[in-house]
Amino acid sequence: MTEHKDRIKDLFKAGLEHYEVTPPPHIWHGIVQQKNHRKTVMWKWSAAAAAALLLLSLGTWFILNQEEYDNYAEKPVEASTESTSVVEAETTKPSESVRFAKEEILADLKQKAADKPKPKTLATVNKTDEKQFTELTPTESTTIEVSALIADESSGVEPIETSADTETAISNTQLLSKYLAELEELSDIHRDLMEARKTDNKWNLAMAYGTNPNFSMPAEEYAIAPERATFEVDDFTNDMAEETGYYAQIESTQHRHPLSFGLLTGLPLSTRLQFESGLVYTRLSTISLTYVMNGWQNEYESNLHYVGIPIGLRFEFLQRRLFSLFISQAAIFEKGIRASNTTTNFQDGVLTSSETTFGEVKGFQLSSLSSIGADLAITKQFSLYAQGGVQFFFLNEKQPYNIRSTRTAWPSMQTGLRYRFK
Amino acid sequence: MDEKQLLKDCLKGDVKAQKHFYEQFAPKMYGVCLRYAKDRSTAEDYLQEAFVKVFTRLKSYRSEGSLEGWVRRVVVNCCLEQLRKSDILKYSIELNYAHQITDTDANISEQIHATQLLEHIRSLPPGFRTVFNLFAIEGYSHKEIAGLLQISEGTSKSQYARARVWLQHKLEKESSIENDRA
Repeated sequence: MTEHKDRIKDLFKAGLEHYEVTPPPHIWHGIVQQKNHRKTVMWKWSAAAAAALLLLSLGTWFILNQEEYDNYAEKPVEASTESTSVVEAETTKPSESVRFAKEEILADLKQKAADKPKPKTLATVNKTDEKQFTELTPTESTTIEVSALIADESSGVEPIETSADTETAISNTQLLSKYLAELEELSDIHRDLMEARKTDNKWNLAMAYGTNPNFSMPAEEYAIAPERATFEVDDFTNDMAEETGYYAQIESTQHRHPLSFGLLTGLPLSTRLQFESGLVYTRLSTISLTYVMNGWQNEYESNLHYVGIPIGLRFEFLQRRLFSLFISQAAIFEKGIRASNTTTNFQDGVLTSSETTFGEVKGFQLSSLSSIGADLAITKQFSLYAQGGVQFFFLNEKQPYNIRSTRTAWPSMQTGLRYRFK
Repeated sequence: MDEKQLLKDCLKGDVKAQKHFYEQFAPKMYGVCLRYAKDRSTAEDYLQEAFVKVFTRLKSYRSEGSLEGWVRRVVVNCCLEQLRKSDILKYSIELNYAHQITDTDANISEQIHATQLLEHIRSLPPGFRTVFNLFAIEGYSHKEIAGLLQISEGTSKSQYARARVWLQHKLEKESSIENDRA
């Protein structure tokens, strides 16, 4: 720089370095008010978080109880239009597959009966009760059939004429009983399946655990350089900058695995599509170490605590009895609730001092999570799930330095335990 | 009052001590804020925000340097934070002036009042003003400024050079008017 250039600098430095002006008196009152206001804001944030949690719990409780109430209040389903008579009993409509199974068995029985001379009793049962049979629930129809058979046979309306006829009748009765037992069993299995599918249409609650990979940056990466990372300079990074020659003395920066825990609720929109939301806590931890200079070394540890609300959709593209495969897309809104920063000094490897400061984290972090996963049933109500995908982070420039400052896209892994409400 | 005792009382939350602390440093810090802000009203806001921060962070002061130096650093950082929030700084830093003023030998009067110097600084666009303040008056290096403002070292250097030329032109103009009057 020329002498002339220095003159400008010197002129302004000399004239303004110790320039003093008495501020207006209202500023002091403003400072006192603002200090008190900050305390109130902290309380308000805590109260708002508590209220949001309470509302979420109450909402879930109300919806669950409403559904239970609806189940109790559910009216009997009207009989199929194919039916010739209306079933009066409180019953649900038998499924198509159960009806087909019955029809197959009845057709089989008819065929067997046609092959052999048949007693009138069986023919009577088949002809007269067939319509009613198809209109009732499996249990009821089975009961009616058995009781009709017993009544017909014991009443002896049509006396059995020969011993051969008697044997045929007994054989047919046994055959019919066997088929009926199979039918009963088939109905039970189907009922279980239906029940399982019914539970899929209920709310579910998942305890989730998630993480992204950890990340280590050597000195040459110059981790916290403004050109290489997008972040908001806070008090901690500012102090670190001053103490480390603006990050030039940092030897390495280690980002630990970000950890997330949370509760997610799922609301079925159809048999395959679910709306998911909940509350997730995430911790981001970063440690920067300076070079050892004259035996001295500094360690800067930053722990950021976030609470986030994910909002997304989960689509099950493959559904089996024991497992399902799904894809999901979610937007996650995170708010930093606390920053805990520790500066530790070492001399010749021995800890000499350590200081932890706490601060607030301003702004919001928005991310998008796209993933694919599998859900494996353990019991009727519980299932384990795991999903992997990619998470993109936005609005990083308003957040303190963390693992998301240097890269915006990260692989994501989540696993959890899901409970389906009955 | 002894500085250590004053600090102790301030940390305890003694409002009287805090007021005393404020009165001791506020005039100098207001001078700092006036250099960074575009007007008096904004400078008052900066000063208020800065002192709230000073009291919040007072426990992290380690008595290693002078207390005034520490307070000044907090105030400067607070001014930068406020400028960043308003995005004025970003816009101004990116501003590219098509017509540059030639750097010539100056005929500048050495007898300029501080208020006039302040007015000249405040006439600078926010980006120029901030870099000039940090480099010329606070004494930060361009590397440090790059870290603070999240810009490159080269940008800091060019912003300072342009600010200096801008001020030089203003001072020359002022001197020539005064000479004409004389």
